[in-house]
Amino acid sequence: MVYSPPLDRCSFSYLTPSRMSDSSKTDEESALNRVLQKTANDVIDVTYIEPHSMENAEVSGRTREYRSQVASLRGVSRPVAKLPPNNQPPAVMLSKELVSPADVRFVTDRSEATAAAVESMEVKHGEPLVVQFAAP
Amino acid sequence: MEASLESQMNEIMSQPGVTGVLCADEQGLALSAQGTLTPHSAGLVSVVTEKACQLRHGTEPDEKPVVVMEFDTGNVLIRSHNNSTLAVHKV
Repeated sequence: MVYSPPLDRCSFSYLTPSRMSDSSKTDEESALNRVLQKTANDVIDVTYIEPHSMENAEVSGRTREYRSQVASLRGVSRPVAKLPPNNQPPAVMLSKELVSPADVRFVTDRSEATAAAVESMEVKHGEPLVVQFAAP
Repeated sequence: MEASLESQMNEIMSQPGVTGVLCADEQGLALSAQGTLTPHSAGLVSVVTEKACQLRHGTEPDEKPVVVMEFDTGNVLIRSHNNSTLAVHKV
């Protein structure tokens, strides 16, 4: 009779449980640290920013900087107001320049040409509009 | 059918300073509109020229007035001719 010792399943494993936990724990910690670092770089956490935590000088400096950046991004200038202000005397208001004769002539010519184009509009059909079917 | 009218409208829009153009018929219905002038204002444009013609009653009936409305964003010039009204928005 040969006595065989009981089988130890742990001896068949490639790594011992203690070794597995150490390496995986290290990997998890490094992965966690990477995630935390990336979050700290990308995410702006405003929950802890108190309104009184910033100094007035810093606030004014940031305001000035933001306004200059916004002004530099504006590519379209606002159109100049065409209407004269209404706080002038009537004589000055009435002596202002009216619409240029060129514009009046332009609209007159274009209205005549447009009216001619409207009159030239006609319905074009290739097939007869009334079709008789099943007629005796 | 409306190719000639559309070509006229495109030509008007290509002029410097023109931002909108509208053409309406005698009933105030929009035939064509481009740019800042929308078809919704066709009825109003027709009525403005109609009332302006009534103000000039007694003068030459064939002479159609040009109505100019001045805004901060530019002028809107309106004129009717032969049952059609043209409005041009020019800065």
